[in-house]
Amino acid sequence: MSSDDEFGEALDVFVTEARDLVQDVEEGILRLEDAPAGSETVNALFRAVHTLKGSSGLFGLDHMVQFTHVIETLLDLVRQGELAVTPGLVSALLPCGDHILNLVEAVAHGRAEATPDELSTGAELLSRLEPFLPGGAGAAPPEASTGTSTPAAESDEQPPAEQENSWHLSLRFGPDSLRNGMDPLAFLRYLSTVGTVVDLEVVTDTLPPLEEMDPETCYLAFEVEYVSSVPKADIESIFEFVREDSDIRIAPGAEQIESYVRLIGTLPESDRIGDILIRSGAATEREIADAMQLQKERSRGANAMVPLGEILVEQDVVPRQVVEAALRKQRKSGESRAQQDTQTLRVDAARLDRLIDLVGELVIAQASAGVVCLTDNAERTGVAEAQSEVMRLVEEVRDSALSLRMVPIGTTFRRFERVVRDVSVELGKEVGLVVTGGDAEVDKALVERIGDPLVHLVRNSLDHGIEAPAERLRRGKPARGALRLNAFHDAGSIVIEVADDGKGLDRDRILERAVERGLVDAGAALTDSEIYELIFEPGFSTAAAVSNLSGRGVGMDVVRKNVTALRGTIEVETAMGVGTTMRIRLPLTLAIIEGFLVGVGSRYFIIPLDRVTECVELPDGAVGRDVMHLRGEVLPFIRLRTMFDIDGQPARRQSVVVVEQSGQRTGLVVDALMGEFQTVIKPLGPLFARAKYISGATILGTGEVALILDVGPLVAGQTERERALHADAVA
Amino acid sequence: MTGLALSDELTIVTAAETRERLMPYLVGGADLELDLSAVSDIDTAGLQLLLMARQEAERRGVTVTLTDPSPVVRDLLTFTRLTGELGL
Repeated sequence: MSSDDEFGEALDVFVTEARDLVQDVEEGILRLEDAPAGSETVNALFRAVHTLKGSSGLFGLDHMVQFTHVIETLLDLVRQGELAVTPGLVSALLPCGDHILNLVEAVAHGRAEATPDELSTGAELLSRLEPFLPGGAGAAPPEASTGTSTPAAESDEQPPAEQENSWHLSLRFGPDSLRNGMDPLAFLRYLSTVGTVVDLEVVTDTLPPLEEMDPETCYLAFEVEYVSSVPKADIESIFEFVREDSDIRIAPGAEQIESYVRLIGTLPESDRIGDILIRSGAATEREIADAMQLQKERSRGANAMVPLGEILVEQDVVPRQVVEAALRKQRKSGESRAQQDTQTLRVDAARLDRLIDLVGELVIAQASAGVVCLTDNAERTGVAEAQSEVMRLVEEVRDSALSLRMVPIGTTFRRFERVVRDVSVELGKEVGLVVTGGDAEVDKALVERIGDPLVHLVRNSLDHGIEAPAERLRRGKPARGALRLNAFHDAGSIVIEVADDGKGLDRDRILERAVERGLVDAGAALTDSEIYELIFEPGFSTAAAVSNLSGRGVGMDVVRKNVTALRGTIEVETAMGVGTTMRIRLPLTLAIIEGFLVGVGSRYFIIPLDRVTECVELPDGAVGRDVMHLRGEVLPFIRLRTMFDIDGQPARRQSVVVVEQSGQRTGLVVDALMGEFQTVIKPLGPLFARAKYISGATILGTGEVALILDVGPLVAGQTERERALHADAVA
Repeated sequence: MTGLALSDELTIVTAAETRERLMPYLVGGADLELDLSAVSDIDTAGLQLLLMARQEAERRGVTVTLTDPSPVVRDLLTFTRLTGELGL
């Protein structure tokens, strides 16, 4: 069938939206406990489930309709305040969200029917909801909702709540509806599940004679007299998937007009007639948006704006009496305000990356133009000025391009409400999660990649950090443990903290363990922080060691590896009996770094600026030895010239750039210091994948290539070399 | 009066084929009786073919009678308030 592809596309849209909705559902359920009946949280949750049910129905996914219907019924009771939210209810609802997601994923893989397994899982989940439903009506089929009047109220402002409203629906489906797998009759059938189709007329005006008829084109239109208690927006949303090609009009029935007029009379004044109509429920947001679009088209070329009200009346969206009532309420501000668009737009990440890449190129090209200007003589100061102005603009463009990738970290944090809940139930601990700083923004790519390490840290805190309630009480702590997720911006980085008020790391046992594992010598004198750092060492602990070790468990080395791969650092702060804080520091974006440009011979290197602590001159005495004294402390250093085998004689006066990584300081000996340089990172090709101390490259304004040093491995390597040297010396 | 029995699906899947089947009967200009007893499924495409057949017959001055609708067909026609118009 030729419509397979198009149907597939519609189904893709369904899957994408359904995934979002399921996430809304999960978040809604988690917030349910704190939300009073009738609050926006409860309403939003109800709507999300309702929409899921509706769109599943359109695609004939009966198993999903049946499952979501029960949840919808239950949430409706919550919404009306007839059912109190208890932790038990939340616990019973949460796996339902997961189940819906599984069903959606099955649909994404082309399976539109439930497997027997899924059916029995679904039935079991629903049976757990049974106690919450009145009279155990849990498994009632969707049709049952027709009779039971669900309240119309989305908020108190809706017209006559708890009352059925009559509507006149004019449905002109797009000619390709059938080909796209959208059967108009399926929509009508669905309508009759959320209301009553009082009368229906099939309009055959456009049905052509036999010869001209294309049997796959939709010619039929429908006029429907409809009574339902759901709000207009919900009726509209039923037609979501055909809206684009179809002409769907939903007009209030005659007896309803008066109630709208009365309702509008009670509303506060507003600048915009559209707002008034939306608030009264007489028009939906989409209808107003469509009308405004039309208004814009009409007004093009014309001297005066066509009034929005006129268009709404003409399009049969809102009856004239209602528009007039709304006009009376419109504030006479004289001028029509610019439309404030706070809408969001989904953009393909690849396009965004391409834009950022281009802007990066622009920065480079701009920098080279700057170099030309600077080397030019002073007579051309005008050029230099223009140049610096362009530079400023380019930088602004770059910043705003990068900000497109920025998302609040709160979306990631929200996942943890679930993790904390599930894990603490599993472990029999009581833990409250406190999230702060969720609006701190960070690159989307980073957010995605930091999720797993964070889950690890959170699980660790719950598992090994926070004690069981009885033990906590014994230690004079509240039985309920606290886990805190915090994020904030700090000097070009984002800092993410996972803090618990648990028992803290046991210094002695970590040391004991490390000696046992041969990570440190038995007699080694280590500072506390050096000891705590050991938990990040590979091989420090294995899965078997987790349960009997009072510190952190498996895979902390993996966490550190992941964080380091993102050019970040992780540190631990802990106090016995008081708690542990894991602090991850990450760059805001992976695309650009603030670098420090240095030269060795004819080569250039970039050192990430956040690693640089200071620059000093290489003392004369240090020649030949790879350590120097810095304010009374011994500082090991690395000669980049030797490390990268660069030919030529070192400069007469060499400099040392002091870098710090995880509390360890090392000097890098270079010939020349060029200063700060904002660097657009170009990843190295696969050929260089094994280059150990280089994390990327960039192109300088002069067209030359500078390599970006990967300070982490460089410093770690140095420590190992030192240790080997030390071991030799001891032996 | 000629008779034609439609069976199985009367949907978008078979719409083109059904139209081909109806074509010679409608063009032939004789009264036609459509037996709908074996129709297992019907959608908008099927419905509009039936309506088109009725309309076409009227245009040509003949009659198309629908007989013995299967439960799914009857259900749909009842829902769409077409039973009277289609003489069922």
